[in-house]
Amino acid sequence: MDSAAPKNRFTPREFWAWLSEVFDNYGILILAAILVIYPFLFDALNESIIWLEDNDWEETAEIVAEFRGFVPSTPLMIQILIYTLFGIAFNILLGNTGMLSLGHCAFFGVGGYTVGIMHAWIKPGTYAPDWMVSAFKVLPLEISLITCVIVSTFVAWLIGTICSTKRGVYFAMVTLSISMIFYYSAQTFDDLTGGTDGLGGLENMRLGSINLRVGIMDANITYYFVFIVSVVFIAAIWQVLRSPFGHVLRAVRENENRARICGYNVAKVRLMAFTMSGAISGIAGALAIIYGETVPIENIHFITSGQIVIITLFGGAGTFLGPAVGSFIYWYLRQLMSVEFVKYLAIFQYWEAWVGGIFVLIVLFVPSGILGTIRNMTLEYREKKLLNRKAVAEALAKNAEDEAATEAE
Amino acid sequence: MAAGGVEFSEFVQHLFLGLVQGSFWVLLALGLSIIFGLMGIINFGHGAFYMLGAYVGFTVSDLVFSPFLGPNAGFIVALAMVPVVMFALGMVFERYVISRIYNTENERFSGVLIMFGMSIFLPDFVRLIWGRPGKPFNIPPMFQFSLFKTGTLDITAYRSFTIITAAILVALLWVLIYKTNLGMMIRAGTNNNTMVKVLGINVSRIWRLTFGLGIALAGFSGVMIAPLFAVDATMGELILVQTFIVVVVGGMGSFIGPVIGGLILGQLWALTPLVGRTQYVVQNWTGTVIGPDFWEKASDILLFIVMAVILLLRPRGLFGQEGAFD
Amino acid sequence: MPILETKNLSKHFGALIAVDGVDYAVDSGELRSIIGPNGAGKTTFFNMIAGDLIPTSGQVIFDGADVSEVPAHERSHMGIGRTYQITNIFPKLSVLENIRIAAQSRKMTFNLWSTVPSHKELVEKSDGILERINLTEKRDELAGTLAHGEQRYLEIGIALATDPKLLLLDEPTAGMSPEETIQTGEFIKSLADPLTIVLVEHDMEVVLGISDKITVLHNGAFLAEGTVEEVRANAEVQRVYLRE
Ligand SMILES: Nc1ncnc2c1ncn2[C@@H]1O[C@H](COP(=O)(O)OP(=O)(O)OP(=O)(O)O)[C@@H](O)[C@H]1O
Ligand SMILES: [Mg+2]
Repeated sequence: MDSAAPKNRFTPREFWAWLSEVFDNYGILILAAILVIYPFLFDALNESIIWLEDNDWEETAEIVAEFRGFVPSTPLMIQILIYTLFGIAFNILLGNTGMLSLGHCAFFGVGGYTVGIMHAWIKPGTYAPDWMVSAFKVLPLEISLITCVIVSTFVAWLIGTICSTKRGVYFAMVTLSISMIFYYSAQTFDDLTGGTDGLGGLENMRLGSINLRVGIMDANITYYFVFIVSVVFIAAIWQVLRSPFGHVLRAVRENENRARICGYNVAKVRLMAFTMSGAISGIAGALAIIYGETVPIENIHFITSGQIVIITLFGGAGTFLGPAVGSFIYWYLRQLMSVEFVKYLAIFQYWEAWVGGIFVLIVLFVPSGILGTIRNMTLEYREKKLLNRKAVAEALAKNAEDEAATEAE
Repeated sequence: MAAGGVEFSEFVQHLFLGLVQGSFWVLLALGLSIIFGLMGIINFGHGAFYMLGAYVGFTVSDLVFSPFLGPNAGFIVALAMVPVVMFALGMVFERYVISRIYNTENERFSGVLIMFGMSIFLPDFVRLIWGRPGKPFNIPPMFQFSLFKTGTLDITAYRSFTIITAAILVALLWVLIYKTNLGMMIRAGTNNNTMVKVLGINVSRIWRLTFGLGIALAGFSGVMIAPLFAVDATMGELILVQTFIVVVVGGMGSFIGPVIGGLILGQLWALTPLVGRTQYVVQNWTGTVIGPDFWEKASDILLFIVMAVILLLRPRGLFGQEGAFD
Repeated sequence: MPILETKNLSKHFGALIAVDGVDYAVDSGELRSIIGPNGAGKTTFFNMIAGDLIPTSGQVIFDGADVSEVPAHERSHMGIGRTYQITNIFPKLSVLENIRIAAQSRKMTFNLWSTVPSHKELVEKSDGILERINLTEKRDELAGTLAHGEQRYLEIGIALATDPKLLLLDEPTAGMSPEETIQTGEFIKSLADPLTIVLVEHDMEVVLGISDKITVLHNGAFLAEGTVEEVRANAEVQRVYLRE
C-alpha cells in the first residue's frame, strides 16, 4: 500500500511546481506588496551606502555599491512596469485571440507622440492656436492622456478595420507594414515630431488636478504614477479576459470556423480585441515617454514590436502575468548587459544582436515561455498527485476488500 | 506628356529610376513569394539577408578579389559568389534552425517569429563584424558611363545593367516556377500546403532548396544594389517593408502579381516627387500650397497609402488567388 | 410552410459542379435524410445552407427569408445549427466550455464586465445539455482528449446549445462502432420534433430506421425523394446507390 505513495517527493521539477503553486495562490499579493514599496527599498539601499560611507565603512560601502549595480533601479522598474502593461495588452491578441501582430509599435509610438506633441507644441511661441495656449498655462497631463486614449483607440480601430480580416502570418505582415507608415511619417514630418532625433522639449509635465510634476526630476513620483495607471489598466484587461467576451476570444483562437458557426461575428470580435489591445498599448506608449521627457523615434520602429513579442513569448503567451515576467527579465538583462557586462566584454554593446538571437532561441526551445513551462509542470505535478491519491485510495479499498474476504472465510 | 514645369527628359529620367527600383522590388518580392508558397512562412528576414548579401559582396569584392584582380573582376566575382554563399547559408539556416519547428504546434507563427528575430539580429551582427559605419561600394569602372545622356536625362550603364539582370532573373524564375517539378510544387503549396506534404516526396530537401534559393535571391539583390545606394546595416529595413507592400498590392500566390505590382509601385514611387513641380497646385485644407518639399518626401508614404487602399478594396491584391492566405 | 427550402441551388468549384440545381424543401418538425455516394455534394449542400459557402446560383430560403448571402454567424442566430463530417469542436477548451461558449452566443458577445459563472441561466443550460449528451462526468476534461464517439456527441451538444430550429448533421456516426451507431440513431430520433433535422448519413440502418423521408443526391443533382419504401423501390436509386 505504501508503495503507491510518492517516494522522492522533491525532485527539482516538483520543487518548481510547488513554488509555482505558492506563487499561484499568493504570488500576486507578494508581488504587489514589493512593487508598492519598491522605490523606498531602492532609496534605502542608496541611503545605506551613504550611511556606510559616512561611518567610515568604506569597504562595505563599496561592496554594497557593487551589489547595487545588480539591483534594478527605480527608473528601470518604471520601464518594466510600462512594458508589462504593453505586453499584457499585446497578449490580448497573441495569447488570447491567436493573432500575431507585428505592428504594435504603431500604437506605442502614436500614444507617445500624441502626448509628446501636445506638450511640445501647446505652449507660447509655437504653432498652436492662441486660445489653446491661453487655456492652459501649463497643459495638464490628464488632458493629453485622455487625448492619447482617444487618438490611439481611433488609430487602432482604423488599422484594425484594414487588417482584422486577415489571418495568421499574413496578418503579421500587414500589421508590420502598416505600422511602418507611422515610422516613416514621423521621420518625414520632422518639424512636428523631431524626426530621427526624437521629440524633446517635454519638461514640466504636470498632473493638473493635484499639481504634481512627473518626469525625470523625480523617479519616485513618476514610478507611482506609472504604477497606478498600469495597475488600473492591467486590472481592466484581467476583467475583460475573464468576462464572457474573453471566452469568445479564446474560442476564436481555438477554432475560428466553429466560433462563427456558433453565431459569433468573428471579424467584429477580432476588431474589438485589436482595438482594445491597440488603445491600451497607446497608453503604455504615453507612459513610456513621461520619465525620459523625450519621444525617441525608436518607440515607433518595428524593433519595438519585436521587443514586445519577445517579452510576451519569453514570459509565456498563454499566461496572464507572462509579460510581467518577460518584461522584468528583458529589461533587467538588458540593463545588466549594457552597464555591467559590457565592462568586461565589448560584445555586449550589440544589444539588438542579443535580442534577436535570444528571440530565435526562445521560439525554438521555450515556445511556451517561462510561466507557461512552469504552469505545465504544475499541471503535470498536480495530475501526478491526483493519480497517486487515486492509487492510494484504490489500494486501501482493495485491502479492505481482501480483509473482508479473509474474514468471511 | 510632360506637364507644366517638368521637362520631358526629366520625366523619362524618373521613369528610368522607377524601373530600377521596381526591378529590385520584383526580385525581392518573388523570393518572398517562393518561400511563402512552399513553406507558408513569410520571411521577415528577407531584408536582413539582402543587407547581409551586400556586406558579403563587399568583403568578397573589395577585400578579397579586387586587390588581385582589379575592381571590375572583383565586382563580377562578388556578383557570382554572393548568391552561392547566400544559398549555402540559407540551406544551413533551414537545416539547423527552421527545420526544428516543422510539425510543432503553430509552426507558421514560429517560422515567422524566427525570421523576424533574424531581422533584428542580423543588422547588429553586421555592425559587430563590419563595424558601425556603412561601407563605400563604388560602381565598378567598366560600368561608369552613360548609355544615353541629354539634359537631365542620364541612362547610366550600371542602372541599365541592373534592369537587364533583373529581367533575366525574372524570366529564369518564371521557367523555374512554371516549367519544372520544383515549380509545380511551389505552386501547389501556394494553394494547398498539406497537399505537398501528402505527396510524400522528399519534402525537407525541397524546402531546403527553396529556402536557399529565396535567400540567394535576396543576397544577390543586395550586392547588385550596393553600388547604387549606401551599404549599411539598416538598408534592409525600408526595402523589406516596401517588398511587403509590393506583395500585398500585387497579390501573393501569383507570379505576375509581384512583377506587375513592383513595376507599378516603382513608377509611382519615382514619379511622386515630380508632382510638386507640375503646373497643378495642390493645397492642403488650410489653403496653403503644398510645395515640392512635401512631394519629395511623400513617395515612401504614398506606397503605404496605396497598400491600405488595396487592402480595403481588394483584400487579395491585384492578382492574388483565393485561399492563398486562409 | 417549409422551414427550409432551396431553389435551383448550385455550387461550382471551377469546372467541377459539386451541387447542381437542387430543389429541396423540409417541413418543420421533420427528420429527413440525404444520402448519396461519395462526392455526391452532400457536404457542399450543407455548407451552402449553413453559410460556410455562398452558392454560385440559386437560393436558400429559411423560415421564409432568403438567406443565400447572409453570413454564417447570422444564420446561426436565425436558427440553423450544424455539425461537420470531420469533428469540429474546440479541442483545447474543456467540455463544459465548449458547450458554454455555444450557449453564450445566444445571449452576449461583447459583455466585458461580468463573469461567465455569474450567468445562472447559462450554467443551467450547459448543465442540461451535458446531461443530454451524457458527458456530465467529463465536463472538466479537454475536449480534444475525449474518445472519438464522445467528441461526435459533444459537437451535437454544441449545435444544440445554440437553440437551433433546424439541425444539420453531417454523418454523425462516422467512425463509430456498430453499437455506438445504433445508439446515436436513437439519440437523433429523440432530438427530432420540435427540432427539424436533416441528416447526411452513410449508414443505411440508421437512415432507414429513423427518417421520415429520404432524398438521394447523385453527382450533385437531385435523384429521388420519398419514404423509405419509395426510395428502396426506385430503380434508379438502386442502380446508382443501394446496389453499388
Ligand atoms: N472547397 C472545395 N474546393 C474544390 N472542390 C471541392 C470543395 N469542396 C468539395 N469539393 C468537391 O465537390 C464534390 C462534392 O464534395 P462533397 O464533400 O460535397 O461530397 P459529399 O457528398 O459530402 O461526399 P462524402 O460522402 O465523401 O462526404 C467533390 O468532388 C469534392 O471534391
Ligand atoms: Mg461529405
